[in-house]
Amino acid sequence: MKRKTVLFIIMTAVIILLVVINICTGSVSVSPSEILHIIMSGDHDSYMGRIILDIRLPRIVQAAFLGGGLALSGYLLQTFFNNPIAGPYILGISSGAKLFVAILMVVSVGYGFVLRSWMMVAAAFIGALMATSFVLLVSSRVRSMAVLIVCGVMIGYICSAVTDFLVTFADDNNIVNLHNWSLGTFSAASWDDAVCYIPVVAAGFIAAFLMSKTIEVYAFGEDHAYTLGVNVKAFRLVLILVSSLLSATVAAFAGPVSFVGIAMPHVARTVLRSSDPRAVIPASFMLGMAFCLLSDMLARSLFAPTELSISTVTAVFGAPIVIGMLLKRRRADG
Amino acid sequence: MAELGFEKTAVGYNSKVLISDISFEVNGGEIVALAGPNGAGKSTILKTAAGLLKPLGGKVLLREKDITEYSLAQRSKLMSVMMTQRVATKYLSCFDVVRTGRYQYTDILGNLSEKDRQIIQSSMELIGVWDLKDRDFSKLSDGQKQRVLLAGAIVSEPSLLILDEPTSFLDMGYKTEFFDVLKMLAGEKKVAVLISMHELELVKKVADKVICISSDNRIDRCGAPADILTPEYVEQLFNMKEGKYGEYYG
Repeated sequence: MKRKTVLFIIMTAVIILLVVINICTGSVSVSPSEILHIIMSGDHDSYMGRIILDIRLPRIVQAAFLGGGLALSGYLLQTFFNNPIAGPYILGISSGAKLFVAILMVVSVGYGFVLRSWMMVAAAFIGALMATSFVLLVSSRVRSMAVLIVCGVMIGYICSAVTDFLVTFADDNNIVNLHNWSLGTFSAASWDDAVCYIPVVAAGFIAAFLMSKTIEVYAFGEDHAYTLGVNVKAFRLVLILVSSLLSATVAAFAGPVSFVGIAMPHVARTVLRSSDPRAVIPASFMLGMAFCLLSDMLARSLFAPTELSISTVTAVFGAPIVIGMLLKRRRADG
Repeated sequence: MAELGFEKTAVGYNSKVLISDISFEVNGGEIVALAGPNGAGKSTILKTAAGLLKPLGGKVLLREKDITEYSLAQRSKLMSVMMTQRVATKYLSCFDVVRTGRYQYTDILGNLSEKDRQIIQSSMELIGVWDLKDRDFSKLSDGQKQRVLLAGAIVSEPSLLILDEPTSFLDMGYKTEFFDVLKMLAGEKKVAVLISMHELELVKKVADKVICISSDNRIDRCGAPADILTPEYVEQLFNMKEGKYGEYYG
């Protein structure tokens, strides 16, 4: 109990620290006291005020919430497949969402209507569900997780190929925007989007937390959960819908972000030394927040003024974690 | 009143009948064993009794009422099921494993009441695993794991226990310990037990009734183990050459 409390305090402190660093650093450095003044006064008129309030803050909020949502989405998928090597990116769900958002963007240019946040989420959700359905179709035929992951990666490639095709032939004035987004970035963050994704992510978090008791018994196997009185079919449906909605929301606003969903729940379980969903769910969420804040900071600052795509950074840190997981599992099995 | 009853039940997978016309009852305080060669259909019968498979004909009765008339929650309060399974979850203490058996009784977040804690403790003490409560479940021996899982099965205070080959991977000492506990549950708590097992020598000592399923998927015989399980019959049931039972088990 005590260990968990300490860890949650540390995670909170790390998040606060990362937020402060993210606000202060960038093409123009600002001191913390100036920032406090700007935020308190809501000063939109000065140059600095606009940078802080309209660019840096929404970007931080986006990185934090979408990072948390992504980690949670990964956790729910891992629960669903009863396997820690699962995540929205590796199973092709993020790419499916990306493809549908790209189509929506191209169509909106062609027909000249204004894209709204909810349309992007809706398109991404449809794309995510289609990719998920395919993954489920495969999983109902093949029991092997390895085959499933290869299929997911293949779906990811196909969707990315089609998206690239669309990006290549998209209208010139939109191409810059579309290109950045299709690689994954938090740079297009705005408060308008925040009004859309914060409620979705918050709802996903609450739904996941309220399911924690069932998530726990489901880890003992479908049959066991059923004999304890769990409506397994309904539970699986809710799991897949919530995780798809979360990863779709992330893809709609930030494009595909790799390795957060697969790696953060694992890190959460390892540092907590617990598999209790009531602790792992908030811990995964907070680690997702911290990881994306850190990655976004590095993406912005490492080669400034050139920005890296967010997945470039998350992959560098996330992939080794996943490889470590695989090696550890092999050892445990053998 | 029988806790569990099969009435001319047909069982099988994917609407393909494996065994038909099964009729038997399990009363409170009674241990009924399913015996027969591999693939005869013991697990299929158990899964149908547990509600994991739908009967393909006839009825499965719980307390003389059709099993389909119960909600999932009601059903899981009446019976506990222990199937052959490998629990892969890491970082789970034995207390946690037993705690999940209280699923139907805890609040929405799974918080334990004082009553829940008492029942968990008394169940674990009854099975003799209370001293393991803080140990990591995944690091226990097979025998210890089975006993912890049994504690998890009785923590919901069921009147019917369904066990699928719970002792197959246990050594002799653990087997006898496990059956000690099972006999005590049936004797003192009047729990009805339906169990599949391979150890025919033990069936005679443990079970009140044995149901023999032959390799051609029929209920071959049903009754008191001492009467039924003669060396000649066992040789026939398991398709052994004459005299082989005596040679190896006699």
